[in-house]
Amino acid sequence: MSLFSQIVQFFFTGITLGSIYAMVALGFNIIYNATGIINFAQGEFVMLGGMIMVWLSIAVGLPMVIAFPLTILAVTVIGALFERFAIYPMKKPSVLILIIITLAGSIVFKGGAMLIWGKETHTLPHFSGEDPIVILGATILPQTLWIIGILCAVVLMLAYFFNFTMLGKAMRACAVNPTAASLVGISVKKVVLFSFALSSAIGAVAGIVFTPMVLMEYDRGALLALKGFCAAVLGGLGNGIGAVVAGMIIGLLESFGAGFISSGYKDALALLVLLVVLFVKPSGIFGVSEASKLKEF
Amino acid sequence: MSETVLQACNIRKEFGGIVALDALSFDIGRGSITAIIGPNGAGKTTLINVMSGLFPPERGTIVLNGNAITGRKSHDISRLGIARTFQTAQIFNNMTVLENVMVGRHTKTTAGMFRAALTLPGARREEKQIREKALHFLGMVGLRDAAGLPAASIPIGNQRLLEIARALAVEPDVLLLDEPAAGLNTQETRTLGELIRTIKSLGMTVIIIEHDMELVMDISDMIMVLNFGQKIAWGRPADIQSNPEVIAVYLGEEE
Amino acid sequence: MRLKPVLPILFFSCAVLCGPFFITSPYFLEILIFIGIYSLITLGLNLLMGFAGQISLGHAAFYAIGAYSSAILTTRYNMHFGISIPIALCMAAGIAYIVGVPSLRLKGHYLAMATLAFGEIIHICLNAAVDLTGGPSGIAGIPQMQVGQFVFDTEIKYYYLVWAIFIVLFIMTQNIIHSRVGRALQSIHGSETAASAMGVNVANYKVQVFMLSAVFAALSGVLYAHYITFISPQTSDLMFSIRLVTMVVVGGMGHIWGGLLGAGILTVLPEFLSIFEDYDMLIYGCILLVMVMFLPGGVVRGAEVVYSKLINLIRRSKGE
Repeated sequence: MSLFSQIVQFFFTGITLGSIYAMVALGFNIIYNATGIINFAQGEFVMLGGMIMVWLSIAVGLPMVIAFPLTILAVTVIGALFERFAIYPMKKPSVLILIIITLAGSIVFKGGAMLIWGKETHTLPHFSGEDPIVILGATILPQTLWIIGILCAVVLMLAYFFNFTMLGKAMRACAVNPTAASLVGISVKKVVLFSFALSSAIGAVAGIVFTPMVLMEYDRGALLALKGFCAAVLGGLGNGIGAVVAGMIIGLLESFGAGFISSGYKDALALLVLLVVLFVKPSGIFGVSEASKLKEF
Repeated sequence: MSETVLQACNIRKEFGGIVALDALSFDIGRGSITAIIGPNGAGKTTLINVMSGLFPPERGTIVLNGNAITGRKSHDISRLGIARTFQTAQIFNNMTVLENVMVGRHTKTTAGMFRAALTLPGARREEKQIREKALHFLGMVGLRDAAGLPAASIPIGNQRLLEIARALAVEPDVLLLDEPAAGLNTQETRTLGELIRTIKSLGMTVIIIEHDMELVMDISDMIMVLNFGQKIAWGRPADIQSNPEVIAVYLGEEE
Repeated sequence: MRLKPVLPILFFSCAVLCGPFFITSPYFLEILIFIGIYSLITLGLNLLMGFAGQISLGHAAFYAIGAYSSAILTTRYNMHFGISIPIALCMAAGIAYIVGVPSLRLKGHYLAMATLAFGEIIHICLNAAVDLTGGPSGIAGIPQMQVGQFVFDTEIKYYYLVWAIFIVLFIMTQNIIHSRVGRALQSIHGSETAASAMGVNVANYKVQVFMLSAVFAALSGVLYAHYITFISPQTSDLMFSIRLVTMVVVGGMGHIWGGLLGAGILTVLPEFLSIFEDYDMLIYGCILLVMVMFLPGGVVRGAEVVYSKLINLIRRSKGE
């Protein structure tokens, strides 16, 4: 393969990965914006999306078109239940306690997945077949286009939701000033619940579209969450566009890094980026330094 | 004329577009009690924050005992001889009353991790001294009996006194008090006034932000009036009381 | 010197001394050895989290750095423990300094994530640097500890070694807590602004306590490596870092015995849970969740509450 084709190949791999990281980052941002909480169980929502989809479409035998929304619904319910049982009852928990609660949640989900589906990897059929498409000398799978397309759909839907619906605007209000929001009648508790539901839904979508490309297993969540968090911080915590751009950057970095440098260390690349961002400009590319200091930590 | 212990020259502090302190200059005489008064938002707490090193000024210099302290970190400035209290009490909720005051002795003591871990006799002697001094200062503010209580459990008024005891334990040259009388009743305010006079008699210089005019007029040697970050008056209580600009600032212009 | 704080550790030391007379099975002794090893880490981690109020989700990295350093030096370079162990500890301290200075400027979630990223980077490197670390297969044939002709090759000997080290470090930690340094650390946790105003160099102390906790963790790693005589990257992954943090929290953050209690509970628990086989992770997660939600002050706090309620009950019945 010529160098140019290689680069194109890495590019497509990069934006495929980047789309997934972007979706995880968007999930982080939604909960963070509404609550100031970093949800360490975010990666598990992705994993559950993949696993449940596999179960519904392969074990139960439902057609993908039906399994898709059902899976999203199931993971959304799980996310909402998690919020109700583990977050809602807490009165003014400290940052550390919240971190441990979401960490414990991730262990519960992982343990549950391991119990139900075992430790093996599972896979889904590609949405529209596996005939490779040749672009500029590089071969890409149709699933890649699905992933990028669904990312765009998710971004558009979120943009519409947050800018043109009452609930979306209510959530944005809570993000800026929860006290003022509650004073004008917005139920902050409901917003928190909904943010978890929405985040888990997006995570599920990411898991479903990603599973055909990489095999899904019970402990995939942690690394995904970590890289998704890298993207969220790099783009500026709470910034939606930032999450997408940063997700792409990290995906491309990983892809080119694995291709040109070494594949053993590729996972460390995203983490290194995270460390550099945290040390140099924690507010990220698009964040404002003052604003990031104000957020209650 | 007593010597100058603290000298501020052309202090300018901005927050984004807002000028909080504007070309502020003043000299504080050693052993005096200076009150800083002015309407809300005049920049009083900002001035104390700059003096104690919470943030640096954009322009200007502050000299303490001949040492330039502008822009230095809080812990360095504390070591050089300034201690402060906070408008909303920042006591250490996770420690007892006595331990809070003992932290105030930090700059006057030296035992590091190694000496502490091995409880060398020097460190143990130092511990005893810290404890005794802390109890002494607690006694000064009248909280000696509360020494063993968790700091979070004592009433707010006492928490403010605790802050003062803690700042006293630093044995600073200059003590900055940020609205110590807020929320105190007449009797408590009178006791506070006596405490401040006692502090002065120990040789410390006191700078106090206050809104309680009775207290201010009663104990101050000098008063500085701030408005919109500028010094609009400086003088003895009697002069300030009759200063038309000051009156205008507080009561508004005459129609 | 006041007697009160000395009594508990004295009782504990006696209990430790007598332990092997009642517990003779190597299986149980090994559990106690592991509790000791983990208690060493949690001792330092508790100082960092409970007293100084910081977070570290990457402490498994220092454990691994200690273990691997000593393992590599004693296997590949045939160094003696007297040299390999100090080097391992210095490596941990040095890396803790390099990582700590920029990280500890961060707070809350940001600090948690920075430490987590650091821990994972170390973990990934241990897996990938096959030439140095043996990669996923790890390093085998690590020599057992020996002083002169005396080899620590049985459970009983290692038990006493580990717990002796723990008791010494415990006493030192207790001394630190009840000193000017301990108060400085706690003041940072209470209010960084006020601490700084009282002359505490906040940044310095944060790094110092971070380095100290890293050295404790590295020492644990060394003890582990020369006991099991085999290490692999798996023993120091993200889950381990999380387990360490939860040991501190479940035991009781900010209480000197919290680390030991937490290490004890969360080492014994998985042994019980292994009976449940596939359910073990799920149950572990649930127990953790419930404990941290309803007993955020840890078991120590819970015990204190129960104790004071009992005292009140007794007082009331006496008063009648």
